[in-house]
This record gives sequence, structure tokens and C-alpha cells, in this order.
Amino acid sequence: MKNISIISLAVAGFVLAGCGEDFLERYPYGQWHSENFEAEEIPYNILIEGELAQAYNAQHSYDFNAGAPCLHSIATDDADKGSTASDMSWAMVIDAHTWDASAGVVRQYYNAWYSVITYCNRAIEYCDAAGQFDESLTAEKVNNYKAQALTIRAHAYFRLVQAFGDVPFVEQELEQDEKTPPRTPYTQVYANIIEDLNWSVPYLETRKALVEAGNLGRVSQNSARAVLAKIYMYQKDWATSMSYCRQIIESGDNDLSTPFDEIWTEKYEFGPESIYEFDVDDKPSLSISTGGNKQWASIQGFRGQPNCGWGMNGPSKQLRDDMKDDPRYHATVLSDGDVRDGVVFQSAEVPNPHYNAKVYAPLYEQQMYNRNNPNATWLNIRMIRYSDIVLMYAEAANELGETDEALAKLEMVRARARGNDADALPEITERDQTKLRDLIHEERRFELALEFERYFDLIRWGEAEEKIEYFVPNKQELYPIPQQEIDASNGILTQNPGY
Amino acid sequence: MKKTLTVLLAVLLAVMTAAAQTNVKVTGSVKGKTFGEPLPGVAVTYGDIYTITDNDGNYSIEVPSGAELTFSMTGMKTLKVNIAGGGKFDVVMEDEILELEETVVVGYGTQRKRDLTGSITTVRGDDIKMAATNSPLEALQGKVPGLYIINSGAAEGTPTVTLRGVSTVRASTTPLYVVDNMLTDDISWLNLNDIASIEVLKDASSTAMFGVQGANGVIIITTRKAEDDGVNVSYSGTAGVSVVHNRDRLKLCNADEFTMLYNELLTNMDPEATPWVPQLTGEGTDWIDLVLRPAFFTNHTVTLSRGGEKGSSITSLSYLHNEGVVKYNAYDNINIRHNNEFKVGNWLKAGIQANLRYRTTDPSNVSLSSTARVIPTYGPYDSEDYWDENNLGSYFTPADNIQKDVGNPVAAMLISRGNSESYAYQGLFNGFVEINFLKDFTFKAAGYFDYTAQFSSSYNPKYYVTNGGSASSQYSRYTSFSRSVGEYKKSQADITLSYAKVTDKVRVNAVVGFTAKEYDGVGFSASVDTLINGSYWNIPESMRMLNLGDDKSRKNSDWRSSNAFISWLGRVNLTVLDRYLLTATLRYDGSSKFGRDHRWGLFPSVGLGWVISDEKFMQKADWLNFWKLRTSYGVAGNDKIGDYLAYPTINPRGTTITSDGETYYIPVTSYQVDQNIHWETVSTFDIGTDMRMFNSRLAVELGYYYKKTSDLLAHVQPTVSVGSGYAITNAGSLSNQGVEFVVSWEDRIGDFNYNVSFNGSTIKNKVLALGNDDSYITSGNYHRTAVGQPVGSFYGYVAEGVFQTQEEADEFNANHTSSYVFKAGDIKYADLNNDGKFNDQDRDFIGKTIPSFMYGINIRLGYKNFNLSVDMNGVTGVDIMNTKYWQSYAQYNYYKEQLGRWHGPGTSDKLPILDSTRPQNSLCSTVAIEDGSYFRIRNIQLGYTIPKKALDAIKFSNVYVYIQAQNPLTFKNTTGYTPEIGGGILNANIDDGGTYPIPSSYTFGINLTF
Repeated sequence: MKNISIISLAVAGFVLAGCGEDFLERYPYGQWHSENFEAEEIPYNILIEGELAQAYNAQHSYDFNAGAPCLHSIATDDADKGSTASDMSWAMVIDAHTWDASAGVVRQYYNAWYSVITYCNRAIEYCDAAGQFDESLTAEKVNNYKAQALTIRAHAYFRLVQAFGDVPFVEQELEQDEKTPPRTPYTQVYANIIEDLNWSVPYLETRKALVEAGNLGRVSQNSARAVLAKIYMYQKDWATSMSYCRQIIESGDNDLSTPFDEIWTEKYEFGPESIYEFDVDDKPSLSISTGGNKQWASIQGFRGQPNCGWGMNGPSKQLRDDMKDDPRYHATVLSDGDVRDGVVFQSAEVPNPHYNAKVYAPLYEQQMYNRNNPNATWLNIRMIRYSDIVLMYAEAANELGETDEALAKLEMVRARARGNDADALPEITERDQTKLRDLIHEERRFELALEFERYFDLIRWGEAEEKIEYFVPNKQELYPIPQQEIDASNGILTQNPGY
Repeated sequence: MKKTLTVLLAVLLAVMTAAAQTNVKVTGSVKGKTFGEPLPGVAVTYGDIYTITDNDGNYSIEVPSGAELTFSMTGMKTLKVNIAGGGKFDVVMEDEILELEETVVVGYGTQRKRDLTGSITTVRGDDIKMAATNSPLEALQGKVPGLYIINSGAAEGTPTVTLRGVSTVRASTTPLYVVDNMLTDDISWLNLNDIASIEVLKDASSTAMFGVQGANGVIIITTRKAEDDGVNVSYSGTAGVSVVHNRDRLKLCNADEFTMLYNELLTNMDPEATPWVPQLTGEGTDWIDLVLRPAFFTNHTVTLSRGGEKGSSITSLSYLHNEGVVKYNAYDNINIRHNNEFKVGNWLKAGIQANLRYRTTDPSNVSLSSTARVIPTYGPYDSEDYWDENNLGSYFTPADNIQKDVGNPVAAMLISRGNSESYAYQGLFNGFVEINFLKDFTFKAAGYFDYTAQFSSSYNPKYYVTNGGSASSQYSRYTSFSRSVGEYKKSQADITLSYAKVTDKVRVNAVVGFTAKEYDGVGFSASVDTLINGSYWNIPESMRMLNLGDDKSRKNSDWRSSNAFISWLGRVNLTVLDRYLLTATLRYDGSSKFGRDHRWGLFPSVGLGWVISDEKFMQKADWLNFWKLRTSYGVAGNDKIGDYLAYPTINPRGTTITSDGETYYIPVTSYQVDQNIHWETVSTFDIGTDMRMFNSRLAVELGYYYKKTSDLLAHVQPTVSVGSGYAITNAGSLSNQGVEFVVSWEDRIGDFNYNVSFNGSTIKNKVLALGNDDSYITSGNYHRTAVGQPVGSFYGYVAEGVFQTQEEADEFNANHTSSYVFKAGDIKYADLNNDGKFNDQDRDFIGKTIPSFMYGINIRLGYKNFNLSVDMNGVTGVDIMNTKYWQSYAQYNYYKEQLGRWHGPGTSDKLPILDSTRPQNSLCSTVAIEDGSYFRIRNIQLGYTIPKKALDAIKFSNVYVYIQAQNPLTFKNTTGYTPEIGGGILNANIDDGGTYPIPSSYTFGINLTF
């Protein structure tokens, strides 16, 4: 009987304690939410930092790391898909120029930038709200945050226009049941982001200031200017493009002092070469590991022994042949049988045993910070480099007939490339505009080989049909809007011509 | 004359015995009530004196006068007869329980089966005693119409259970389990021998009683109580072996066949290719044989029970050891259960129950999919000289160029063998008190507590799998070790007040009550790398401690979560004139999983029944013993989604930034949350009939149901330009409908009795709405869930054969714009929309993952002391995607089927040319769809009850021995180990050769009663 009394009491107590609504109030542990926290308690600067950090990380998502080498480089004849014939079959359609609207890798690339845009939009909303509610946050600080978000977003839209033409321009995060706006004419997208970038420049910091403060990975004034220069260059507004390039060159924030073969080392991260760089870091012993995806280098890395990666985006025979006497060859191409840091590189049996050397991390980096892996999960992505800007300046100058300026800037880049080899790359003195144009184009091809410029340069120059064997004119100037997006939009989004 | 003599003799004997021991002789016959047949083998006992009836049901026994004889027989109600002064006593025995008079447990009470208005199937504990199984559910397969069970072959595996189709896409499909009134979502702790009965509640008038948790159906399990007066000790034990017969294994190419196909592939891609030379020829290595084994299992249960006027108690102790057919996979379980009930007069009843359990699992560490992929042309060890299981450097894998990411599965298995452990202690306790007052009222209060503490650890040694010198990608550079601990607490309290009244004309049964339930779980885990610096490869078990790890690699984390729900409930059962039936229920539930304004809901149901056979106008139909019509409608909910989905949150350590040279954690707001999220609502309509005919020999149950889920919880991603990272919302609806039936026939012919039953159910699943604009959900590469189609259907191209010649391919290329250029030997696809383009608009729904018909056949035969039971089941109308058809860059072994590939005009019209540079042959298409229908002999059991006479010397009252064959034979059309695949709701039935095989098991068992 005693047992029963105890049970009855326990039961009754439990029931009474539980009767109320309070019993059903269950909230997540380890998270702030409406019950343990007043929304105002989190300073806006923290909220903004959070969204910004995610925007920065989203720039190097897997979707980007797998998609960008395809759309920017493999689509040219300078790079091969890499690996065995059937590996990474999703990239085959790019190499073969047979992609259609259902190509997964095109969709990944499209999604990658919109994901960046979503975080930027949230950060911008917080910035706008902070001005009204948070008195502790100075206008200067808020404007700096907003300038970062606007610049990242503008860069994302620039890349979308570059690949897809007209794209929906979304300035704020929409509700789940809202419909996407239709595609905005690319000229309008450009107009919008030009305005945002111009507004941003004064509020952004210089690269040097960022490095000094240890704020690695943020966009700088020159990042914003570089995007502006590119937008005008893609519209063949040479003068304006050149003026932004000049601003960058004259800012003194960047220079070409970095030896070409050390540009992609950890030592020179955010160095003088850095214009727009994605921060990727992995230091197990210091518990440092950036968010986002860290496979940029391993997706393209050497496949074999040592096993640095999958081997995507390898230099084609054509590029290797054309570039074989260029001093930059060694820093661009990593081949079967090469010896680096005392290690003999043995490729897996693949059709093209040559790899992108610009994703190779030296042996000593592999051994630092307890990393113990050859996959270079700490290798930053150099989206826009200073030499790109210098060559853009040279290109614009030549188009405008300022031959001396063009030759001088071209020589800057070649001088650095020459390194200690005085005989290589003689200075160019060609003054014929057409011939010099070709030389500048070829210089861009070698300086920026396997990076982000070649395919869209060829389209911009109208040379794609001539330089890419399988290029389909009047169609492949733009990639298709992903079919899945068109379907999900219920017809609001339209397709590019030819698809 | 003879008769007179007998009487005289009897009188004489009677007088003699009366004089000597006052014994009298009793004779007579025993007959069954239902069929009036003589019953042989009935035990007639008085104390130590006993006899059994002969073949004609006659008996003769001498007992003291005034004695009370007990007539007993399995399946019949035990009968006691006072023989007074002896003589002739013909007795008629009734079936133990007349099935229709049986009570059925319906949750918060019981009901007579004949009074049910809903669809409830009862399975007796004796019918589910399959030996080689951990879970009682496994044995339900093929016994309950509408219950779809996908079994797992793993030693620790539990089946996946779905009732009446898939009614959700995002929440769980698991039914609610109710064990002795305790609500739970896991019953793996139950010992099979402790189960008295299982009732499966399917229709809304039954499930609505469980409100927001009832939508997936309810399975009520009642454990055994003491059955008889007096002390009863029994033992049951089984032991057996499980194997995967050759006929059930994957059919893979041997070394010669593989070499031939691989060289053909190389030549197809490059006619100049140098032939590849394998290391092994002939049969090569049978990898599957190296990882499978005949597995042993055994189960022992001792039960002690005591019954009586003042209460009863039952205690059972059981031990289960179950080995998996994949090497080193094993599961052990020890269970102790004690149940004690007290009675004080007629007004008070109380009880306590405890179930303590210890279980330990050695998980399978074999990748079966790798075993299906690894090529047969090399052996697991470097060379025979190095065949040393304990040398972590002696394994072998071929060079990267042929098989990079598959690895040596035997090496992987042996390296990680015994390095993971997982064990848990679980205690379930409950107590109740029941007070009967004012004659018709009963008050009951009960409390339940379920506590589990779970521990696991995992160790990974340093190792390299070499390929004759250089290292391969199969290696670990350092040792690592991790531990985790978790604690799970579930409590529940029930209070009910019930009223029961039976008069000549009306039977009323009403209950009102309250239930509250709470779950709280907390866990911790930690890991380190590099246990002990230096050149250690394998660290002894005694040195596997977190303390010894490298400081810099230390990691720890913890988790905690809880949920709760409260409910008020009420039900009325009304039976008027034994013919007109009504069940009405109402439940008001609150669940913590939803926001404050969307937390409470009302779940009503009503059921009506009419026993037509009891109407006057039916009295003439003698052949019809019972005929009932029933219908019901009601609403239940499904809240089985994750906790806290309705709350926007901020993760304080959401992301990191580097600032001033330091890394800082920055809080991050959650993805967009729908704060208005609420449960899925499932409304079900049932109509059905139950009939008993020809002296109840033939029983027919037939029903139709329509079940609609609205406010379907789904994650429908809008276009990315709207935004990314959207949460689950109530975004659609779907329906399930079907017909369910059971037909059974039983009879007894002399010593022979039998029962044959056939049951089946159809399911038609259809998505009615999804998202804003009838969007669809794409899951992985093969599945799409779209309006008008069943959930999780296969979506792809339709193959029409293989291009036999280049001309044929060229013609297709000329007539179709496409990103592919087809060549001879490629798959020829249909241009479904006939637009002259071949692109992704030509895809369609090409298969489904929910079977359209499933059935079971159960046969029971008895002859004298022998009995035989056979259970079979099958499904049809379901498809499986066999992903082996798509070759990866890492060359996999081929299935034997690939020998039938295209390799020249006229060689194959199904399987394309071997050439991995043709992505057009790897599109998701009908080529890879296999018919998932199967028919399986699930269980055959042959048993023998040893006659009482033979037991005399050894003091047993009952000994039953049996042999059992479980899954001895499967008829299937797929090429995998088993057609029972399962998987996620939206991406089920993908077979990559890695599904754990369901073994055939052969068992010997014995049941003893002292």
C-alpha cells in the first residue's frame, strides 16, 4: 500500500506541475531565442558581422568551387576537364560544349552567387535598421558594413551577368511564398551595382589597413574599383574602365612585387597582389577553420602520388605548347614526373597527366599547423589579382590609342614574370594597335591561365568561335538559366536564346 | 448383455474402491462446442492423477469421490467438473475464447471485438514467435493488411513500419507504439516472449484517440500477465544459424569475366589501348564470401508467474545473442521484467512493473557497397606470405588508376573490427492504481518512466593499405579515439475515469482522461587524435583513453533537447440491442513542437456499426453466423517532426571571422523559420464489413479507406533568386486509399485441424498539392515528388532499346537537337514530347517506391501432437533503382548481367556498350529500374508437443519442441541481396549492392513448463 501511495502522489504531483501551458514551453538549448533573449540585446554590429561572415564564406561554397573552374576555364580550349574520362562526368558537358539548361554544374554556379546575395541582402537590411535603432553603432561603422555587403553583392551580380546576361535583381530577402521578380535587363543590373559600388568605395578600407588590423578576407576599396573597372570593360567603355584601373594603380595599395611563383602561397595571402580574394583557412593546431567549402584546391589538385585532389581544370596540350617557353609555365603547370619540394609527382593514369599548379600548396605548408594533408584546404581563392588590373589598364589604353601607357603597363607584368631570367619575355615594343591588342590578349592568356578570365575574355573580344573548337555561336555567349529555376518560377524566368 | 456387465463391473469397482480408497471411476467423452467433434488429447487431471482422451475423445479415470476433475487442452477453455460419486460425465469444451467475444485493447480501455466500429487487427503473442529476430514487428509482416514492413538483416536491426501508405513527406512515418498504456516510438527493448498480444489500429475512430500522435496509426502491445492460479515456471529457448544462400547473393563477375569486360571497355574507348593485365585470373577473389559468414543466434527466456485472488506476479529473464551474417556484427540483449498486481476486494487494484535491459552492439564495419564494387582480380593481402590479419601493413589494394576510391573491403573490415562498441542500459518503470466505485465507475491513475543511458566509443588505428610499395589512398596517418554518452528520459502520466454499464438492451462504456508526456535527452561526446606519440600502429584496448591524446586535437561537444505534450481525451462506446454500435472520441492535444498560437488542436472521430446478422430478418440465414457493417471518420495529427522548428533562433557560434589577427565566433540568425508551422492533419474515412459463415469456419473482413493528409509539412525550395535556406512549412496535401481484406477458413477433421488465412491490401498514394504553384521536390538524382504522382517516384528518361548500328544512331542525331551525340551501342531514349529535341523535358515518372499491393498467406495445421505453421508474404507494384548500371570513374566490378551488354549489332537491346566516356548512357532511365515485387516464405515451423505420459518421469507439465526456417525462400526479380530496401520517404529503393542481406535462418526451439 505504501508503494501505491507514493506512486499516486508522484503521479498527482507530476500532473499538477505539468497542467499549465508552461509544461509545453520547450525551447532549443544552446541557441538564443525569444524566451531567453531580447532581440535588442544582440548589438546590430554582431548581427551584421554574422551575415557578412556568411556572405564571405558563401563566396567559396562547394557550388562555386566545383562550378567556377568549369564555367570560367574548362569551357576554353586552354583547360581540360581532367582526371579519367568518366570521372566528374558532370563537367563533361562543359569541356565538350554540349551543356543544356539542365547542366547541374551551371545551376550550382548560379545558385552559388544567389546564396551570397541572400546573405548580403540580410546584412544590408540590418545595416539600414541599425541606423534607426542602434545609437551605439557609429554611422561610419554602419556605412563600412553596408559598403562591404554592397560590394560583395555587386561582385556577385557582375558574375551572374557575365555568365547569364539578364538576371533577377533582388535587393532584399523575399518571403518564401513570394515569387521571384522577372529577369532584370543586364544594363539595369549594371546601373544598380555601379551606383552601389561608387557609394561604397569611400566607406571601405584599404588593403593595407585591413592587413594591418588583421581583418583578413574583407573587400577593400580596390576590390570595389576592380569590379567597376570590369563592368565598364565588359561594356567596352574603355575610358571609364581605365580610370578605375588607374585609381587602383595610383592608390599604392597594390603592387607587383610578389614573385609570380609565390602568388598562391600562404605567405602572400592578402599581399600586394590581392585585389579580390576569398579567405580559406585551415589550421587545426590553432583551431582555425573558415566556414564555407575548402575544396577549391583539392577539386583541381594533383591526382596521383602525392594525392592532392581530383585533378580538374588541367592545362591543355595547346596551352602547354604555347606557353612552354614562358617563365610562368612552372607556376602554372604541374606535370607527371615533376619534382617539387623534393617530391616526385606521379600522376594517376589519366588522359592528360598535367595539373593546375596554381592550386598547389608547398610541402612546408602541408606540414604546418598539424595539417598533415596535401589537399591545400587553406589555399585562398584569388578572384581578382593586381596583374589583371594592370593588363586591363593596358588593354583599355591600347583601345584608346594611348600606346605608351599600354606598353608601359604590359611591361610591368612581363617584367615581374621574367623574374631572374633576363632572356625570357623580351619587352614588347609593338605600336600597331591591332597587333598590340593581340599581344595584350595573349599576355592575359598566360598571366591568368586556368584562372577566371579566359572564357569570358574570349566572348568579350568576340574571339570565342575562333579560339574554342566546339563553341556554338549565338548561343554559348551566355550560359542557360537553369531549367530547375525556370520550372520553380512557374514561367516567370525565361531562357537565353538558343537553349 | 455387455452393457449390464460393464455397469456391474463399475458398481463392483466403485464399491471396492470406496471401500479401499474411496476412489471412484469416471468415464465419458469430450466434445468441442463449435463443431461437436470428439476431442482427442484432452488432459483430464486431478492432482497427480491424470489421463488423456483417446482418439474418439473418450476417457476413463479413477479419482476420489467428490473430486473436481480438470479438463484442459490448448486452445480450449479449461473446464472443471465435480464428479461427485463418479460415473459417466460427457463434457463439452468451448474454444478458449470465442473470437468475437474476445476483448480488444483499444487504448485507454478494451472493447469486445464484435462491438468495434473501426479497423483493428489483433495478433496473438504466440503467432509472432519468430526465433531469429530482435523485433516483434518483424514477425507482423504479412499478418496485418495495410501494414508495410521493410525488414533489416543487421544483427541489431529493426524494421521500418508504415501503415496504410506514406502520409507525410517530411515528418516520420513511424506509427505510435503503446506498450501497456505507455506511449513510445521505440519498442526494441521488448522481449518477444513477454508479448501477449499486438493490436494494430488503423482507422480514425481508433487512432483519433491518440490525437496529434495518431496519424501514422497506432500499434498497441500488451505484455503477458500471470495466466493461471498457482505457481507456474516455464522456459523457452532457441538456437540456430543464419546464412545468406548463394542464390540470394549478388551475382558478380569473376576475374576472367571482369578482365574481359574491362579490356572491352578500354578498347571501346581507344582501339589502340594496351590490354590490361590482371593479377589474378580464373575465379579471382570472391569478396562477398570473405565478408559474410554463417551466423549463430540464441535466445533463452525463463518466466515465473503466480496468480491468485489477491493478485498476480510475473517475472521473466531473457538473454538474446544475435550475430549478423556480415562478419563481426553482433547484438546481445539481456532483459529482466517484473510485473506485480494487487487486488484488494473488488474495489482496488494496483500494480507496478519494471523492465530492465542491457544491450550491446558490435556494429557492422563492412561496406557492402564496396564489396560489390571491388574488382575480383586481386587478393586482400599483399602476398600469401603476408597473410596476417593482425599486421595492419599487410593489406593490399590495387593502384589508383583502376580503383581509387573503393578500397580493400576486407582490409577495412579487419582494421576496424572490434574497435567500436555501443551499449546501453534501459529501465522502464510504471505503476497504476485503479479504484472501482459506485459499482460502474473506475478511476485509474498511472505513471510511466523510461530511462536509457547509452555509451559508445570508437577507435581508429594508424594504418596504410599498400599496393606493393607505395601507399594507397586507404590509410590513416594517426590513431584517433572518441567516446560519447547520452541520457534519455521519458515520463508519462495518465488519469482516466471510466464508466461501464451492461443491461439487457444497452452496453455503455465511456472514458474521460488526461495524459501528459515529457521527453528530455542530454548527451556528451569527446574525441582526440594521435593516442600516444611515436610509432605505434595499433594501440592496445587498455590504452585507448582520451587522456592520452594529443592536446591540440581535443574536441568535445554536447547536446540537449526536450519536448512535451498534454492531452484531454474522451470516448463513448455504445451498443444497443447488441446490434447498433457507436464509438465517438474527442481529443484535445497540445504539443511543444509548435509555436504558442499553433499548439492546441481538437481531434474528433465517430464510428458506426450494425450487426445485421442479429436482425430478425436474418435469422433464417443459418449459414451466416455473424455479419457486421462498419464505417468511421475522424481526424488525427502527425507531430513527428524535429523539435523547435517553429522558433527563430540565433546560434551564438554560428560563424567565425578573423579580426585583428584573432578568430571570433559570430552569432548567426537561423534560416527563415515559419512560426505558424503546425502538425499535419490526417482525416480518414473507413467503410467495411466483417462476416463469419458456416459455423464460423469462414471469416471474411473487407474494408476500404480513404486517408487525406492536409497541411503537409514540406520543404519546397523557391527559386534561389527569392532567397536560400527556407524552412519547413505546411505546404501541401496528399492522399492514400486502398482496400484491405482478410479471408480465413478453419476446420477440424478428427485429429486434424487447420486454419488458412489470406490477407491483402492495396495502396494508392497520390500527392494532391505541393507549394504555391504545384511545385515538385527533387530528391537526389532519381526521385521526384510531384502533384498527381505517388510520393518519392522515380523520374527519368524512357529507354527504347540500344542503337544497334551507327546509321540508326545517326538518324536519331539528325532528327533530334541534343547535347549528346549518340553512337552505336548507346541507349536509345524516347523523345517523349516529340519536339525533335532530346533534353530533360523528355523525362517522366518511370517507377514508384510505394507498393500497390501487398499480401500475406498464413497456414496453421495441427495433427495430434504435431503442428505446422507456414507464413508467406509478398508485395507487387513497386520499383527499385539499381544504381550499379552507372559506372563510376573508379572502375567497379560488373554484375554478371553486364555480360549481356551491347558489343556489336544484335547483341543486346537493353544494356549499352561499355564506354565510360558516354554520359548519355548514365542518365537516370528505365534501364536501371527493376521490378521490386517479391514473394517470400517468411517462416515455416514444425512443432511437436510431447505426450503427457512421456513427461511423467521428468515432472514437466508441458514440453513443446520445434524447428523453424525463417526466410528460407524468396522469389524476386531484382539483382540485389533483397528486395526490401527502404530508405528515405522521398528517396527510397535505391540499391547500390550495399543493402544488408536478409538471411535465411534455421532454428531449433524448445518450450518447457514445469
